[in-house]
Amino acid sequence: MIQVEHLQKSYKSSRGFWGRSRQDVLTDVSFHLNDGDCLGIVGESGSGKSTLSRILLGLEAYDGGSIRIDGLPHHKWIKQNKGKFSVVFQDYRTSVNPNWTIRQIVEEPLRMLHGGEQKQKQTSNESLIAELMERVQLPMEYLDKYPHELSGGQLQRICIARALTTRPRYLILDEAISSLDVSVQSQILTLLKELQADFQLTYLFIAHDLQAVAYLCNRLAFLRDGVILEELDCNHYTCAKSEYVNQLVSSVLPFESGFTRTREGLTS
Amino acid sequence: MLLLSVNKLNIRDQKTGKTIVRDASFAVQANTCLGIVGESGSGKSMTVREILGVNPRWIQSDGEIWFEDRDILQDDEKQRRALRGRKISMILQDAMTAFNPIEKMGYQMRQTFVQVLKVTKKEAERLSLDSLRTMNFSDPVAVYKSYPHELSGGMLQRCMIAIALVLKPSLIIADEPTTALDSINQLEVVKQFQYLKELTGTTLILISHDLGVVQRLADHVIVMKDGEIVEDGTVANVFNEPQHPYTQYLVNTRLQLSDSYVKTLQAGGV
Repeated sequence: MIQVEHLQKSYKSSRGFWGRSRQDVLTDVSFHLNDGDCLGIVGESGSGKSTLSRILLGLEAYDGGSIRIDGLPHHKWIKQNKGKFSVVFQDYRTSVNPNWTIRQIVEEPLRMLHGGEQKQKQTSNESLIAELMERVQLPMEYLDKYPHELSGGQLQRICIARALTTRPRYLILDEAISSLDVSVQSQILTLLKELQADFQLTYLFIAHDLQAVAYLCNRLAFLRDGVILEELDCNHYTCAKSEYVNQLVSSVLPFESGFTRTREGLTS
Repeated sequence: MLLLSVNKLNIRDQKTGKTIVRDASFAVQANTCLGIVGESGSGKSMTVREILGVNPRWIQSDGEIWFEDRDILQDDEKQRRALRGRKISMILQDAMTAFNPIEKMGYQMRQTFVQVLKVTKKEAERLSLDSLRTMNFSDPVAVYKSYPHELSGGMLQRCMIAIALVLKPSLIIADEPTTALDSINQLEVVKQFQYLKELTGTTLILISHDLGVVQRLADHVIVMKDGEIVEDGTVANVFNEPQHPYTQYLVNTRLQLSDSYVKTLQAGGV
């Protein structure tokens, strides 16, 4: 369980001749993330979503407030549980090394984690990778390809497989589907839903698209200007109090089709 | 009235020898909106770029593109250039990179109008501010005086529409105009397009992979897959009774995405 209380973060911004004013990114962020949950954090660009994810991953320090995981302070927990906090980024093209084969990319977290003892682990690595490739529905031949040979959706699956190699407990999805086609988005979301059950994952799903969030998450938090405006159960977002959330809810362009009726027949 | 018709358009990449678009034929009636849907890599953008004539040199095409009673594929570069902006204009996906980052918005708008419409600077300024006002900006003067990085993606997208508005082209091509925006801005831009359609009766070609946006704006729709048009028809027909398996797949996946959302919305509304 992750408890975040009154988290603060500001960046230096040099403005003026003398001035070293600070720009607040997160002013007061508090939320709880229970194990097995999927919390969606919704906010527009510049609201501090990505900063929050970097802080949780331990890539950046925070200025105030506290983060506790299983009752332990954040930095201690991270040290004791290496590889248990994983992430999938938005930009799949720049988050993989273009000179590496897919095998190297997926193996990297394992190499980092086990360091010198890698030799003995070779066989178990191989079976783990095979299992993960099957889970993300990609054939084994892809392991010897390079990132540019894969489509966006395939590469994002690779990124998901890479994030799962260390058997994480928490997975941050930082706009993980935003740069994909709508049809592929829905495939990836279905995959994520399956993986959550199979690997007992806890998701922190950062997005700006309310429809995708509603599909995957059971809790919702709305972030704006560095403050959590509201935290809701996912099927209660219509009773949101703040104006911003209501505006967001009404801004979604739903898609309607009479094709619904024949859907069940098609999939079976 | 038929504004644009494309007959058996083939587009090939000479570098790789691959055919990007095969036998594409479609027509756009004046004062309507045509939606083009399909996944990335299906040749949507290539097709409209060929209409505009801005594909790189190694992209070869044959077929016919009829616009204003002539086949514009036979035109030379000078004639094509005269069409761009004045008769056919394009609204790009990435508003952030479409503008020059080191010049103020006002300067860029003014410059376009002075060059294309041959008006004076003062007249151009008046035109820019007027069109910004119609684009629903609360403070057009502030927008006019700001640099692109000071504006949000949605605002820049609206600036781009404002420019297209003033040039009064007979055809506006919008290539994924809402993809890079968050949902509030997306709705804002979609509303702006609706307003544009009602107010000026512009003919619009809208490319998007989001069926929701297309459903809201378009009258007709064509579905592209791997460079071929697999289905076309009115929006209601194609989205309610998709015939081709690929269209069915697109509709299905999109429905899957909005289903749980719509359900909650309806449950909450009761």
